[in-house]
Amino acid sequence: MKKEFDVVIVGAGVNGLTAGCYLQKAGLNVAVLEKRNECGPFVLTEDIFKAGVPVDTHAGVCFLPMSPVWGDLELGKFGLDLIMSKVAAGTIWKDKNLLYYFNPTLQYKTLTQFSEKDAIAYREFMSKIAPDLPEILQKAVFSPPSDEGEDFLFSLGKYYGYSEADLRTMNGLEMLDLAYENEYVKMGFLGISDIGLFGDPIEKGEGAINTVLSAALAIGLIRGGMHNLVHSLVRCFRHYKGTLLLNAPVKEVIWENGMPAGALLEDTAPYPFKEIKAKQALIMHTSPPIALSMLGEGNIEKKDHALYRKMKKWDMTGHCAFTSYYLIEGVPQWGSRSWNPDIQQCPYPLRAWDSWEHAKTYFSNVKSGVVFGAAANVGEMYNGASVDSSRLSKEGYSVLVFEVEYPVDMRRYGGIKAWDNKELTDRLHNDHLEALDMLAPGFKSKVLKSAYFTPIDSWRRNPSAIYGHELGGDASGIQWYAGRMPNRSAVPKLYFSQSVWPPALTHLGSGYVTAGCVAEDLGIRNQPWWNHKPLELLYERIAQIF
Amino acid sequence: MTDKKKVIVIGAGPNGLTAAAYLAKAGTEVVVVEKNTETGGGLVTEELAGFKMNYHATYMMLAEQMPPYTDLGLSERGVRFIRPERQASFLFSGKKSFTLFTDVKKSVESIKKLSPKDAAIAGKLFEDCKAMNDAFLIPATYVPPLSPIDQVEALNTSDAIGKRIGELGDLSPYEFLDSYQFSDPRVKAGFLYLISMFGLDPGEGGMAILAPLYIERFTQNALVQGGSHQFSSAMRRVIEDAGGSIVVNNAVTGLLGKGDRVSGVKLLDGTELFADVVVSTLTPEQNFVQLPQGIAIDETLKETAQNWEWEKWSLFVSNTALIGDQPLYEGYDKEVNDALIVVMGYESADDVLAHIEEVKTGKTTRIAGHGTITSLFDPMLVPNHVPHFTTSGGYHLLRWECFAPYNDTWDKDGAAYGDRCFELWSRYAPNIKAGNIRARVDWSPLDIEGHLPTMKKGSIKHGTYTTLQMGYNRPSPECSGYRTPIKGLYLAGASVHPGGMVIMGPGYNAARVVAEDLGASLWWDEPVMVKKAREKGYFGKV
Repeated sequence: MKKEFDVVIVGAGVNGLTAGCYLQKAGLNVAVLEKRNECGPFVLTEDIFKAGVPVDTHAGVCFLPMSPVWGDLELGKFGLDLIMSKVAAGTIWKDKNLLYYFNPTLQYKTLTQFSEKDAIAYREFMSKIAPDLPEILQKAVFSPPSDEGEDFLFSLGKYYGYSEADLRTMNGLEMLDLAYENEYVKMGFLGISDIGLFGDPIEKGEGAINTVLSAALAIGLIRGGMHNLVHSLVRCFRHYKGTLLLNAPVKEVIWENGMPAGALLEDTAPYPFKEIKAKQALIMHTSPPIALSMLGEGNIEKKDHALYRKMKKWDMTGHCAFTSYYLIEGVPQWGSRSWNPDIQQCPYPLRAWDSWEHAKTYFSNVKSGVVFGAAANVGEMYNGASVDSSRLSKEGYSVLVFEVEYPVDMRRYGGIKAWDNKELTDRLHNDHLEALDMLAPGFKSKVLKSAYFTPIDSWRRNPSAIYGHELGGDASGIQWYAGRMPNRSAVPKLYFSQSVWPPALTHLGSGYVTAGCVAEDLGIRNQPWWNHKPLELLYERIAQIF
Repeated sequence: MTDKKKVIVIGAGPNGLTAAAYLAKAGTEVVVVEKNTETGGGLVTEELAGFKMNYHATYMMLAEQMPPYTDLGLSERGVRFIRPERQASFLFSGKKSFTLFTDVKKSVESIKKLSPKDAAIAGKLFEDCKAMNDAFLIPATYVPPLSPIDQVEALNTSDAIGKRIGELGDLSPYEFLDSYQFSDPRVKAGFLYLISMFGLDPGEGGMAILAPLYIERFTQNALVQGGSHQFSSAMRRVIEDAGGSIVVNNAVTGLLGKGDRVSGVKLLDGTELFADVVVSTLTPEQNFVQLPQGIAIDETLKETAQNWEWEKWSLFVSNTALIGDQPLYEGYDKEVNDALIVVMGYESADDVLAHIEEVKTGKTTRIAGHGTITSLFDPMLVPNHVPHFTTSGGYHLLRWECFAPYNDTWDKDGAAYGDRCFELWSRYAPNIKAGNIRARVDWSPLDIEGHLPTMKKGSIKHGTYTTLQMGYNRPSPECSGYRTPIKGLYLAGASVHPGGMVIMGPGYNAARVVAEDLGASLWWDEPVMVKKAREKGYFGKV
């Protein structure tokens, strides 16, 4: 087996693998090293209830439709089957719902049920921004941060009629408040904008940008389970002869001549060799505190003091997911289906408060550590069986996943330790069940089994996800955009693909952008296949389907 | 275009992967088709909350002795076996116990504390078993079976060990064990459990042939570091690196062909794949009854397949992620705390027999079985990067395993049954508390079948072991040589000699036969142990 590669990537998360695929496909020899027994720690499908009933234990929907990666890597050829439901997502209340359609006419119609004025406002906004979305995504999301890029981000207010200066002083809530009159419409769009993670809705500037960018969110569902995304990436990577080592924890980065030159595996790694050399580039696909300890604090401090300070002070706290899983008989019957029955075909319903006042206080409540009752306000639900029959067991069981973000430091209840307090976590889990029973009357009586994972469980599963953080650290404030980790560092040969811009999601932007930086630096960016535009494949698909 | 011979392998379990890897390296063009998302079949490891759980296969009885391990360079690809020194402890009432070690001398010392007389007998038993295993039983795993007449003849005309093995053909495993005349029912219980814990019926006439293998090899058990799945991942890489490909999430729904010849397979998504050879790891029923389309299957073969006997009982496995101290067996000899498997709930061989009889009738009244704290031997199985917030201990991964009937009520009853198993374990190790369980996944016989359909009715070995279904008769005399009456169709699953248990014999033997028929390169050497056995005449005159 080879022990020397052009590029070594530490960490086989989906974005690390994505970087691996691009660079291997571009002709380099790449090795991906993974501590775990499998890849994609946040893109998993596991039989936690019974054999043959797949449960997506973390990521539940896929943002690839908005991404150039889908086309560049031809993931469809490697077994990825993306289901595009006509209803991508929806917000549900007890007695009404707001659905998000790919079809603008249907979207307009559904908004008019709440407010004709808002429906018109939305149509105007979308008609202005829609033609520009591929370019906006390319510049704002699928490119490394730059000064020009930041100016471009703040110019996006124009689609709502705001100047750059206006945008810098607005947050997402204020923007929605001014744009729409109906509180359900506001709550719905706030809920949607909160999943894109391009900025914290209540932060000035980034919150407003996040709201604009959320117009570009495009969601699909992966047939059979999210982990098939990982499989397609691995298959792609292996197709181009990439090397993947599992159960290969990295002890430290090897330095030679003041540059990273590879990785040394832990003594426990079950391989007869321990040194994996990287001739051209080393990509750290692990969160900054872990990356720093592998790289050696002294080495980074000496080579790039600003980077050292950033990594040393990196904030891994913030919102982390507490997720409940329910094995139920049949599929959920939403109480709001009398309002719009299409909700039954929605793989991704959101729970977004009961009033606009609620929404506004929710964020500050969570920041100050009030957690009980949060589930009644907000949550993401994954209901794959609504559009993917392979998620239904032969007995007719399905799984509903309910994910709520909580502050990891529950200081009112004993801090981080509280997450291992079963009495407390059982209470939160029960909160989730009550919320679901309110949204889908009779839900409780259908539950055959339930389970949950706390943020600390996520951390236990994913060594990089300190405190269970999904994005490699808080992605707002000083850690937003240019404040994130550099895709390309000032240290020769050293790159990062986690905790970078854009925040790691299943659009695979972080891996894409970092791969682009490495390829440019090595003079191999100019590949005929490396040219898809964001949303390109989606638009082709939509033309076929609708 | 390539003039390479094309091979389709059905099923990416251990045997399918083995056959595919040898054939891919032999220069054929191999496609493996797998129904599940993951390859590995029973070699399934899932990470829940950072705990790497082997849902099914865990103990590797032959480990490095399996030819694929060396031939395929699996060590280079990250397969390392961990073989704990203390292999099996048996706990009894009154805080009595004994422990079996990889080192027989230590086992004898441990048994001495219960019964000096039985200690000497156990020493002799191990010695006999090892001699038979090394000389014949392990090598015979990696050669096609001889007809019973030829085999008995070969053994009887070889040496003393051969003759001794030949005699086993008339005995049941229990009779073999009984012939050693243990005086302490507890010691006998221990050995009986080793024989029967994976479904070998102790009362089955003629099956004593496997008793030496199980007695000795189940005290040489190894874990795969990082989880059993690492084993299949490594084999998968071998296949891909040799140019083979693996299709997952796509079941074979038909064997295509005409007359007495197979030409390919039909997949769930409608795709048809064609090849010179199809190597199936499926069950006789699937191979000869359910899947053939347009292929003429002989009626007697169909009948054999339809009358295939599944195992009389199955397994219930529970994996528990625990926060806190490791289970400590209060009041017992300290050596039991570090044993790979700890057997609980039996006081005598009669207890073990009674449990088996009860399970055969579908009852789940008695709770007894064995526990393994896999994390004690492989720290990679639990998170090492997160502080634990309890006052003491750390993270532990507990695995419980016991006899279980195949019932259709497991989905409803499984959780309560799992609770009872944990409760029994905590009676022996009172320091483990249900409140410290972070996650638990139970795999009932129904789950085994659900995940691994070739293990119908929870049959972990793809069909019970009886003289009518073993060796030359597995699955039938005309198919046990891996070829079948259907040209181009070969068998490589656990329903062919030497059977199940992650020993890779079926896949390994089938690969050789297929390679020979295709004129592909036989790039590997017969293992030294097989050559020696051949020289001794155990496999007949060459």
